Amino acid sequence: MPAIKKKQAQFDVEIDDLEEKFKSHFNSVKPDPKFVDHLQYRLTVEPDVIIDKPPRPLLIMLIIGAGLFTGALAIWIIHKIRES
Amino acid sequence: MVDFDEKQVLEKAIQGDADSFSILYDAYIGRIYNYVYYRTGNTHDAEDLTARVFYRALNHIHTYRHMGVPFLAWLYRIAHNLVANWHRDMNRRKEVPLEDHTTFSTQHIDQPETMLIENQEKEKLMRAIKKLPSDRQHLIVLKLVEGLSNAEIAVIVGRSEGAIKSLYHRTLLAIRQELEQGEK
Repeated sequence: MPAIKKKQAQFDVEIDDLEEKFKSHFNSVKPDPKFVDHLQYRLTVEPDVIIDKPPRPLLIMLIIGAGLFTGALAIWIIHKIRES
Repeated sequence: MVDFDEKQVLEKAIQGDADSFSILYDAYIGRIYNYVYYRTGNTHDAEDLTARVFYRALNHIHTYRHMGVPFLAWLYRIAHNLVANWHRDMNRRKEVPLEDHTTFSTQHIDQPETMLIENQEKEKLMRAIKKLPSDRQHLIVLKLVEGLSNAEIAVIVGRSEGAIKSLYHRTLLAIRQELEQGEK
């Protein structure tokens, strides 16, 4: 099927042209050396003071809620057992 | 291309060796910064997000397993996720800061008009790219800026090489259409 192959070839050329056209606009960007050095220091040197991450409030509320619910359920079950 | 035994260095970094992580940092900071810069469009956010990429990498390196995915590919995934979150939070997908594009071409510095036209074309291209969905921006920057092959990108995003090639072609055509509509 030469017509299809010819069309595919034209499409490939079109894509290649687009790619080259767009690529020509991009230059590699180098980071500021001071930024690079400072970040490297922060990443690799252990800080003198470590601040503990505070516990997640939502998780704490969930745990307390689950505890209260379990307690209430236990009381209800015991009450039912005594009634019977 | 790295000039050290990445596997050996990685193993030590995973075990918590700071010097080994430093070697990885030196090897890839430029690539990640370049990627993030073109995804954000300005130096300040590029530095902030690049720092976050490496903090996240440092805190989660103990979970890294090679499994056929190179370390740089893992870093690109972290960078993409952080940039996508940043876009969502800042709602800047259609904004391109003009004052920070220090990468304007200086090829025709002795021909100011040519330089101006080139810079304007680049600005239009950046705006068109910013309008793309996040995954397509990711693909375009990896292809056009980082110069990665379809096979390398396929590993990074976890898709087939054929799928990447097809998506890339469609994305180039979409960018061209956006530029043509902008001219009208």
